Amino acid sequence: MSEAQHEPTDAELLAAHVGGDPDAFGRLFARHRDRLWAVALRTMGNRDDAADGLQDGLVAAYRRAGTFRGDSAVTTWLHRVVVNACLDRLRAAKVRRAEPLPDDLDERGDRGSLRSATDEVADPADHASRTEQRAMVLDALRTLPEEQRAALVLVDMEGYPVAEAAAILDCAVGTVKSRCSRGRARLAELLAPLLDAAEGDPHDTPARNPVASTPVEPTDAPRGPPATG
Amino acid sequence: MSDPEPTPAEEQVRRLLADARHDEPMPAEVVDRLDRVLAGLDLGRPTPPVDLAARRRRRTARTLLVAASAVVVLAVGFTQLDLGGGGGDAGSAQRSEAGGASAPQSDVDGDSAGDRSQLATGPPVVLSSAGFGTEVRALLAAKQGSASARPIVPSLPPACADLAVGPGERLAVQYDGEPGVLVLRPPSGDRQRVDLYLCGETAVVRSSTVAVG
Repeated sequence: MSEAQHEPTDAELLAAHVGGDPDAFGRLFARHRDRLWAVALRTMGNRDDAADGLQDGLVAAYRRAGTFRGDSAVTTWLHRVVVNACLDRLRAAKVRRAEPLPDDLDERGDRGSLRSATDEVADPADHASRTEQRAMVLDALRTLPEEQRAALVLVDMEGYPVAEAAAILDCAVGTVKSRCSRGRARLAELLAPLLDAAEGDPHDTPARNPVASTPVEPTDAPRGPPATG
Repeated sequence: MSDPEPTPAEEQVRRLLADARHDEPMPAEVVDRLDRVLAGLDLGRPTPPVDLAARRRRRTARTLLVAASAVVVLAVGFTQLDLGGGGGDAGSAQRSEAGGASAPQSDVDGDSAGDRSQLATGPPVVLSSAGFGTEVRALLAAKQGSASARPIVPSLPPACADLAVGPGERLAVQYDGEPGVLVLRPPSGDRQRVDLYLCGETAVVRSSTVAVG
């Protein structure tokens, strides 16, 4: 009796786009853009490159929508296209880079959002410490090979299940686990000062390791995706 | 089945990564940019898709040739631009084409057609999908180094002339052998975005953001 307004699923929107609906892809993208942005940002390391990579992915997804076979969720496919676009850019940059990109250097100094601390931290000193710590983590993350970085961004940062991360990265589950493991091991070396501090008294050391609001669950048990806003 | 237990250090790393997660929404300027790209894609839908991957595959054979060509074209193009200004030294920035005298903008009546009267012509700049970012940076650097304040729109092909590309300086290019327009958006702070359009297509094909100044 009640004419409940049907909210099309992602798959329906994608099909509508393929069928010629001019608004469908925009609606689909709007649903997922914040999370796609987060993944692109953390994978690329700075806003400008993230926007470029995301744009590449957007254009590719728009144009290749007809090739989506429904083997995975639409959002997984979207992430795959965007992550691949980002990785393509990273690889191309690595090939041609003879010197550090200006963006890479600038990033360390003037881009707040990379080190964005959206948390409501009352103590400015605590806030500064946490921001500095995030910067260290992100700087260390950027030194990893792009495949390891992408795996860690998806699994440890974004909370994707390993299986879904594998689908996004188009590789085996074991490969994702291996990349994550190697990446974490390398990060543990790079971030040793933070880890050492955390092993002391995490509440009294100046560069203390923050205590996560929720415990990090095992690799196979995802924290779950963030609420889309 | 049984994965090795994560070490305490790994657990701490995971916690640090989780804490460094980005929780903010996409910035408004990125939303606007992507919305414009989408709008362009919608408008250009009947046109054949640009297969960037195919371009990427094709690029390998010509990367070196294209890069070399780009250097030559840039060098020739900017040398030509500076010829009227006395050889490209820094002091020639304000010289007009009329013999190097300081007569800035005296040949312009002030209407929009005046912009066109200042346009330099020449061969299109050669860009490649393989080296797009680097080539764009080199282009802007060369442009700044040329000390020429004139807009440069070398010989826009007819198919590109009517493209609605929005604000910014337009530059005719060959991108992987296809004619296009590079639009140098107005700088925002120390950043300048550059968008590439292919002639006959309304969507941005490539973009890059470059540090300027």
